[in-house]
Amino acid sequence: MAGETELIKRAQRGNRQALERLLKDNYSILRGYLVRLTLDTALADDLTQEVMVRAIININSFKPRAKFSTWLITIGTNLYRDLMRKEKRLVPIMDHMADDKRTAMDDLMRDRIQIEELKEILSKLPYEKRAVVVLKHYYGYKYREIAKILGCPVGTVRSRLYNSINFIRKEMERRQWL
Amino acid sequence: MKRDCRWYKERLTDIAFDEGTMDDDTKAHLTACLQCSTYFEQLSGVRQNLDKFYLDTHINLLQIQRAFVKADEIKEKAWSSKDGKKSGAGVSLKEVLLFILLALTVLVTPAVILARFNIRYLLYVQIIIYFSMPLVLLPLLKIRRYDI
Repeated sequence: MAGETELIKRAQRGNRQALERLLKDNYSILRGYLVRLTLDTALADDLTQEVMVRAIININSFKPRAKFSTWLITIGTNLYRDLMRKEKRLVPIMDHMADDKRTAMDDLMRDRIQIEELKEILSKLPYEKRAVVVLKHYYGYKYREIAKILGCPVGTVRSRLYNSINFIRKEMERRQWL
Repeated sequence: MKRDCRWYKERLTDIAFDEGTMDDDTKAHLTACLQCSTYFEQLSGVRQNLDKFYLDTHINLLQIQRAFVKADEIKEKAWSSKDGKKSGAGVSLKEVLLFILLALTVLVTPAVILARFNIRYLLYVQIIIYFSMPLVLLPLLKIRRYDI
């Protein structure tokens, strides 16, 4: 089985199967990131599609110094940032996740309520702070990697994370989750 | 330098998010400061609660195929001008030639007029033309890009 670097090389030489494989391998990461960033599954789906289109068109400009998923996430972040600037949508549209397949109703309801509340807490953060929390907590990126993705200094990433986590902590404390 | 609780809380956030390790100074502060030790304990709770926002994302193969189709369409458009002629730059040959003709007319006409009065001016205008010629490449800015 070919590694990511090999697949990228093949994709850059015009091998469509290799590019398709790269997109398949990184689809969950990309869509998961965009759902958590936008808090809107429909918008996340649109952005996922647009990111993939741009990745296909610009595959030759990708330099494999970073992971392919990081590149996709960077494109997605830029697209969402542009959208937010254009539409000045500061508060994300909340929606309901359609993917849950759990069967126990009580658990489902309790979890669903908590997820909705969690999304509500996250939606109160500006998108650039939410992006830091998502990249750090859910994807384990280092500060310098997040700084590169978001195009801001490492110190800004660090302070954004601290402020966001402190805000989330206070909100969770208020809801007696802690 | 005396460090305040805010400094330690930032440090503790780094540690909770795997950006550093606990040093003796921070350890000593945690033992002495109830507020900071509570904060540090709560951070693991925060992370546990954040984990509840799980996602069960299935790979949407149709969406990937659609992305390829859309990318092909965009590439195709980028290589074709509006009137369908292939120019390689999204600008038709007719447009480029027209622009060059207009540019030359604008630049050469004053040269001819001035030359009738004094040959020295012809030299000046020729210099202007020489440096202005790259301007005829301006239509190429119309290249339909699809940058990231």
